[in-house]
Amino acid sequence: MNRPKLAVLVATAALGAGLASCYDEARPEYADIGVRWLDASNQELGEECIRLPYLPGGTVDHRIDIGSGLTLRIVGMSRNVELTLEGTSEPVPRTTITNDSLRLGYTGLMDAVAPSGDRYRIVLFGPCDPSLIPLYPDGGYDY
Amino acid sequence: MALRVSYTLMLRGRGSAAWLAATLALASSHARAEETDYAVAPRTDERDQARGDGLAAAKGWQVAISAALLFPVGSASGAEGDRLPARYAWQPGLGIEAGWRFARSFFVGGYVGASYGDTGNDARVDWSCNMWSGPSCHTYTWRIGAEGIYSFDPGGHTNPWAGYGIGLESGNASFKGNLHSESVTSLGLTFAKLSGGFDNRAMGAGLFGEVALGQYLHTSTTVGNEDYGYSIEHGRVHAWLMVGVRMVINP
Repeated sequence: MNRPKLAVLVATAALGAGLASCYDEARPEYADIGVRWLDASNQELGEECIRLPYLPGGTVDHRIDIGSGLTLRIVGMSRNVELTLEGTSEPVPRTTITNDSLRLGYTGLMDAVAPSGDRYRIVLFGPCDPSLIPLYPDGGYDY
Repeated sequence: MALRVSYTLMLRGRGSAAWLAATLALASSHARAEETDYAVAPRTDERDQARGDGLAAAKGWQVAISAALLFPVGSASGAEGDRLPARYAWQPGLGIEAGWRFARSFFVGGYVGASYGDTGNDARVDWSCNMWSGPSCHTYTWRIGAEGIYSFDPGGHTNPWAGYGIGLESGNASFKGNLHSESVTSLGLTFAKLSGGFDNRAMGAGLFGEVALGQYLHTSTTVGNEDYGYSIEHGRVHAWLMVGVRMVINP
């Protein structure tokens, strides 16, 4: 390869890399968290998608009634989201997920037992794209 | 004084009828002039006797209108990355103070103020807001409260003063784009509005500086069409630094 052609090739590659870098930076950084909750037989009881704040100081404070007196409190801020189960028979540690993790792809589980003995499973995922959660044929979820 | 001058001239025996007439005319005109001055200037007992500069200490209603630059400092809340300069850029603002001057040196009244500017220096938000054809990003703040001011030289030509106030404050940041829209409004307490400056009383204008220490207590966030309220659990102290000019009515 002669020198001018090599220079054109290098310049093109550099331009392409630069454009790719710009494209990557230009992707929206908005995060959301998906929540599905299921009973002991893996039957889905509900699903919600919550957009998280982007501005510093923005705070989403949301509660989901899981059932049997259980409540999932979601406090989402611009950097991370904190999840707390309220009304459990035993205290459950607070779960913190970074918004970057949710943007890049995240799946997690929380198991909860109500004072009545009813068991629930909570699926957390991000981004809010249900296709990211593989389904069992019977409607349950493959964790 | 004019009457005393004419009496002296008569005693010296130099008063002819013409002198007397001229003297009385002068005295009369001088007396009218004094009456005119008296109507404009404060009464003698209200003047500052110590300085003798003819400027009376203000009393009664006083109003000040100010224009200033505001600079945010400190943490807005305990959340990670939630600093006041990350939320708000410096802002130009306007303010009004109105109240009552009494006992020469004291002022008690209320204040209101508002400012408007850009979002702060949070790297992600800053980058998004500066994108070509990017989202619309704005912030504004307002404050209201009561304050007291002490004048150190209420009868002087230039009056230095210092004040303390307490009140409420709020700040809003909004981000409106095609993919995401959000508005964050925080409300809190200003527990120490420390201000100071000096007024040129002849001009009715002056310079001032202020440090307003406060803490946000509650945040309302709208993301898309959803509204959320949140009581800040771990508040932090922040400050607004302000420098500006003010015009004073009845300085």
